[in-house]
Amino acid sequence: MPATASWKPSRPDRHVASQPSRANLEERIAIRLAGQLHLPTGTRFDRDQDLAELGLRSLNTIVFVIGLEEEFGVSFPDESLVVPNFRTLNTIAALVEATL
Amino acid sequence: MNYRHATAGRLSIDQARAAVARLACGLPGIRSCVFDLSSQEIVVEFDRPEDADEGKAVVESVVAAASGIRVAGRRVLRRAPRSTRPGRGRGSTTTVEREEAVDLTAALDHRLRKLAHAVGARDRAYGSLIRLSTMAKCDYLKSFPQNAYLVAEFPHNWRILERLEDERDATVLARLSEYMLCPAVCFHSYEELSARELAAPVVLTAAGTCFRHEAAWRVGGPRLREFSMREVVFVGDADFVDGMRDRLMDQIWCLFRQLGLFGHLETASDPFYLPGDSMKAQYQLMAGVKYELVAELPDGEELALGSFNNVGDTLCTPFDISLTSGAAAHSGCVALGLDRWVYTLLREVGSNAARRALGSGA
Repeated sequence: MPATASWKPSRPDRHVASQPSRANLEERIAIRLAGQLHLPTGTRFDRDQDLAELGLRSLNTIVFVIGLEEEFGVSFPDESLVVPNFRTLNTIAALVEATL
Repeated sequence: MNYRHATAGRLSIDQARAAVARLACGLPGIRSCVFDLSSQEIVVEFDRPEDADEGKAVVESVVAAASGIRVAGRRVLRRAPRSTRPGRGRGSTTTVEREEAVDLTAALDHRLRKLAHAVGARDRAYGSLIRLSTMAKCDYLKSFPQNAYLVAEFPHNWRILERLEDERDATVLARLSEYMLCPAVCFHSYEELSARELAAPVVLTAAGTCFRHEAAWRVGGPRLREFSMREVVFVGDADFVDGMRDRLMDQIWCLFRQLGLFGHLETASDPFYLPGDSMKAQYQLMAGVKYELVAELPDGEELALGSFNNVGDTLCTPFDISLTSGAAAHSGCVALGLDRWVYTLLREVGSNAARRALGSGA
């Protein structure tokens, strides 16, 4: 799902809003990813592409995780904080979906 | 005097524990620094009341720094819990300086060395000193300043040495040497392999004396400033290192259980000291860089006996170790604290049973 320049992520209220659609989740994650990896806004990500190949590894993974938690107002459970869960857009979206 | 610093609502349990780990080596003149889980307070016992004001300010600084750090909890991989309630244990509760500990250490190390040979390890023997330039390759002094023991020396300079006759305090004439006391055996192996292109995987094993600057109030029992480690270091491609770590972890877990010990294997991180490095520790937890074998002692206390590390290319790169295959060189090591194993054996099963168990697998 392409990101658009005019779209602004909002901080959801966990107590109110209904669960966002998978497409919406992926769009917001993609915007975060592009920012983290210093890629142009609107960058399209293959849902199953290994993000380590794009530079999501080591310390910037942690920064990205913290950003995701802020974005979605969640705290990922310790057992889910493993690198394979942050390997692709698909796995990240699945984790966020399961945590919301 | 005791000072209690409330952390509830400000720090998570894991953040508070991380803060205490820093404070343990960050507060001079204290008798203890612990986290009281029931009250969620950091409790510091100051030796001298006049140190308390500065100490409280340090606690506040460290707590403030900890509050901004995302701390992931540890994950348990395997567990062998004791079925009975904690008690005194069957064995000795004395320190490892006793004669029986000497015998047990030798028997245990013999067993671990054989285990290393079985996975193809070649023997090495290294000294206790290691060059600061070697340690600088992996940024050791900046990452773990709390552990470092630097070595001083008198310059080989007649004008200075002759002054020793009249100098009341000879140490004023000393200077830092180019060496430190080695904090872990594996650094010698990396230096040995430095700038080499390897045609095949390499596995090395060595036992040695290691040194870490522990806070004075923490030294005792199983926590020593000078201790013996048996290490296995392995270098190869990513799959080789991953497989070797798993293989050694399986075998040592079996030995641990065979010896009648209880505990668990969990994810862990290196003790990066400065808050700026905290993300490195978090990534280690996420990536499974380090697994720790933790013994549960008869009285319920826990004691780390060793670690199983897969550091990817993070040490091969600064040590310029490469593979002729062109694949990225990865490395790992297994490090086992012999004194702590023996301490645990003496407390858990006693020396006779431990010797029999170690002998039976020799």
